Amino acid sequence: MFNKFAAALQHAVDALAPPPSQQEQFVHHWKAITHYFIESSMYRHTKKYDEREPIEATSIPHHLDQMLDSLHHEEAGQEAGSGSVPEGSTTGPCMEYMLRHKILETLYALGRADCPLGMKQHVLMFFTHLLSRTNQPILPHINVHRPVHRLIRLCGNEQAAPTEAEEIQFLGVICAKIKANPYLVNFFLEVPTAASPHCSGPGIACSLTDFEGLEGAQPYHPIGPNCKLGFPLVSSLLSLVQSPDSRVVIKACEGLLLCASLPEDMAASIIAEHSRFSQVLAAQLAKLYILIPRSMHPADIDSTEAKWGLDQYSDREDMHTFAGKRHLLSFLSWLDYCDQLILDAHPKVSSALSRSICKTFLEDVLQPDLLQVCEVTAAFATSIMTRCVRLVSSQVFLEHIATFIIGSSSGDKCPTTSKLQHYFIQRSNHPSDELSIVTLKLLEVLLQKPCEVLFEHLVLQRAPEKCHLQADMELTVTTDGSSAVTAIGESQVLIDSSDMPVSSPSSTSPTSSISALSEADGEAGPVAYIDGKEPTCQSTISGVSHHSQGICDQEEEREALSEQEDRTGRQGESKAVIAGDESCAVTSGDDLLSCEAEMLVPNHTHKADPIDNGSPMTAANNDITECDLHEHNDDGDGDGDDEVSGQQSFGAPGQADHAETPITAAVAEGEGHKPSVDIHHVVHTFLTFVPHEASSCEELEDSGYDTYLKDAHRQYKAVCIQCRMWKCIESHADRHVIYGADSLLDMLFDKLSKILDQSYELNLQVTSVLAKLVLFPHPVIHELLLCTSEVTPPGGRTLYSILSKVVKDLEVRMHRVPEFKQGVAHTRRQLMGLVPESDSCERSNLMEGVIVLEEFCKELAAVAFVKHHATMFQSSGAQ
Amino acid sequence: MSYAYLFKYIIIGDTGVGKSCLLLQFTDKRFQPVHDLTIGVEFGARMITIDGKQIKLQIWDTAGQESFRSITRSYYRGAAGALLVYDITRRDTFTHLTTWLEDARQHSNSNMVIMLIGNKTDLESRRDVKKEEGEAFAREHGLIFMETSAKTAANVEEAFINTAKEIYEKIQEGVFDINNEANGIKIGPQHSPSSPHAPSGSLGQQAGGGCC
Repeated sequence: MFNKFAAALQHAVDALAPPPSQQEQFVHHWKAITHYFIESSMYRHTKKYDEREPIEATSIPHHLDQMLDSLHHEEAGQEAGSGSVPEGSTTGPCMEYMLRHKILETLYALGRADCPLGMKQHVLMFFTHLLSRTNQPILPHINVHRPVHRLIRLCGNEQAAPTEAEEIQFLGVICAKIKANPYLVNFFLEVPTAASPHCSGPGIACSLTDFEGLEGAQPYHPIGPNCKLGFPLVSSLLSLVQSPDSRVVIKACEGLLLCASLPEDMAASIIAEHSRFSQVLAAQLAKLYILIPRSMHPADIDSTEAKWGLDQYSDREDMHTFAGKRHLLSFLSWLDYCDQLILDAHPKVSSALSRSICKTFLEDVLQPDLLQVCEVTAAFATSIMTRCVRLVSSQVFLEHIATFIIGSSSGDKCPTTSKLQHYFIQRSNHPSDELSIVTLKLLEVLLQKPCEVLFEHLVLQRAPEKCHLQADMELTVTTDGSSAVTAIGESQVLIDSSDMPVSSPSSTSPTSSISALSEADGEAGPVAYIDGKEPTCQSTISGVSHHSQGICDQEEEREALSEQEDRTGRQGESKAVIAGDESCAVTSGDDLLSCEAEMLVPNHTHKADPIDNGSPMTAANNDITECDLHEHNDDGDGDGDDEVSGQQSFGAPGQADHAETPITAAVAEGEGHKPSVDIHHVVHTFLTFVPHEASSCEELEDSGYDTYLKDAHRQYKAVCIQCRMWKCIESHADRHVIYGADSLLDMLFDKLSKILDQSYELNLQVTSVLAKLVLFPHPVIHELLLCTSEVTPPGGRTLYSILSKVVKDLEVRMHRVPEFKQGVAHTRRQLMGLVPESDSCERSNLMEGVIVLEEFCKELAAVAFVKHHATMFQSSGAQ
Repeated sequence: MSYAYLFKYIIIGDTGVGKSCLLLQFTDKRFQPVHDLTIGVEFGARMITIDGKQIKLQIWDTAGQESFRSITRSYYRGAAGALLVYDITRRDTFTHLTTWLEDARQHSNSNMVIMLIGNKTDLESRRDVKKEEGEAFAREHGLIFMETSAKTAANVEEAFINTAKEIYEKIQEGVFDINNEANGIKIGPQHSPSSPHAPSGSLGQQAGGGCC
């Protein structure tokens, strides 16, 4: 009766009074929640109360939602009112009520009790939504961060808890908030009370100063002086990383990435030294490695790509590829995750994690497998090692891996005593081809990493007393090859046909055809340089032409020339296109032309071959032109200075007739040798190394030399970037090298000398490693691998001496085989897939070896040529 | 369900431009005005049909906040397509496009198809960025362009599907190496080539093209 009256009265009041304010609604919903608990405690011992009543049966979720709504509307209203400046908006009455009455503390307590059933989940959701949707900084307030901190400690306590999804959402928001304002992390660190508390940023806290209970000056959670340092957020995330739910795992990984990359030193120290962070992540990597089936094929390991992140693989997909792919993917994505972590994390965390992975995974788990006698396991572990090295992109991690392989690098003078490095070098000579190949592959990948200690230890083993190279035998190598190479590339661009003197009448003899060709490429200066200053070079080339091809048909020469003219015309157009862009681009193009002309010389040597078709080369060069045109435009700004200085030293095109261009002076003075003469000799030597009777590439349309040139250009550029900062390259001081019985070079030389008897696959791998080595801009490398001098350094072999022996051997052996040339040609077609293999006789190591040898020599010629030009540009730039 | 191809997408752009709403509209056909900030990366998937082929789109919805860049960057790698979203009512989201694009180009594979999306066309009265400006930006940077509304669902389907079509065309042209999963494309289980890892033909190429 009374109730009815009250209700009627309420209706009347509602009708007359304004609707309840936002705060009143907020308080109303909160009271409704507290009321539930008061009531349930009153009826605890009566039948009315059911302890196991799920939260969904109550109105609590509804009231919590309404409270969030009120807070959200309040802030939205304020932002609209204050011109949407969330940082400056004042705290509204709802928020004030919530903070003043420690509602979050109460909610935390209810969540911990998880009463009614499911309360924890809803409390987590409430916190998540509150922190995520509120723009004003509330975390610094003690009545926010204290319950938040306590709630963090509740997360991840239970494996596969039903609240995992909500827990990870909640932790994710905290991580995001901390990452956005790193100083906030101090609220979530646990340090002994003795530590002096840091004052938090006052700027953010001041908007909340009107509240009682603000204790922004005490950010660390004081715990007893005997307690350990702690970062519960990270500990909880580490627990969730081991969840069976992959979505939870990935979120936990993201959270850890954010925490690990905080710039705060204290947080980093705690993660690195006082948490299980490194151990857990490293142990997980080891665990995933162990799960991969050992029978997996090295080629599968090599070709599998994986990135960490949300991704789903099923066993069903596994069936369609190869067994165990899923395990391999899990392992690789975890490694990728660790690599990313090391890349992004605070240096302290990075080095702790790298160390831990080296110890827990590499040393304890992988190393025993690497050293296994069982060939399958050893090959498997080596392939995994190779794949890991290839994947790793963070320098810190790479250096730790390097230490693992070469032993501790404390700058000692004596060659390292590490087992692994020597073990790998020795095992490249294993009777099992497969094991040799995977080991060589590992060495190859190691050489491609931007890690100086690896290069130094693997290649340059210092031993001053052993093998001192003579300085006058060396070709200079650029110290800053990268810019020089770029310059080569760029020099291909922009040829102005209008400046070009036409010299058609002289195009009848091979000798003059070179100059005609050069001139056709549109730059008189460098032509003068080639013609005027390098008579030796010209005669060499014409000699080559006569020697190797006999008489060149006049018609062919004309054709070649007209092709060149065509091309020049096209390039003239390309200049017109760019000319409008920026004058800088055009001028820089002009002065870099000399290389273009030179670049063509060895091409031409080759091209003038009567069987060889000229057009592929032209096309190839046009490709270079186009792609470099791009690069040039991209790099234009950065390289401008160099190019301008280059131009000054080259002189303007108008001075073309003067043979005394500064570049020639530079060359002459340079290092007291004649690189141009050398280079043509070197290129020619390598290109004609394989005797004509054993050569098979001319049978086919394209000799491939142009491809090698392009590749060499690209690869050399990459190598120069790789070793940009290396002291051993810059100083040039260390010219001592040993290649004793256990050195990498010695092993490679041994392998190469057996090229005619080894399997094709092994030969490819051996030459591949050598081809990587030969690119390094280091004098020792140049001396040992590219110098074609007959004089070998005392006590040593050079690549040239090895190849000479191989060729001598070949000359003897090929005469014993009837129709050798046809056999080689047939084998080549087979290898290229032009002839089905089943049709033919058995593959012969000798024939295949000759083909690998021929290709390898072409590659060497290309690299020698590209490196030479880098040097030329370097010395001209220095003028 | 089986599919012919699987494409991985990412959705990027400033915080609050409607990335999560676009995804929700595309995958669930609904609009949720109030939702939590995306933390890290969320995930959605849907099947579409192009050229009679079932294609599964796996879409990663990233957090727009600056502090998540290091995480979102790791998702660029291995994506075949990207939806770069700005809010037509907020010019700052448009001016930040250059940064996003640089980030995307730097961390993704070079063939990644990028679709520029001006979202929130339902708020025409508050428009701050003209459609022509979006078009010009897209033209300048070689992107596909579209204006959408995650609220009314206008053009949402088209945005996702057109991106997929572009990727599909690139596959047909042989631009994408579909055997390299790092490109963000997977061939469906039933379409797998007989033995993708056999060393077939590779030897010949090596001999001709260089031992490198």
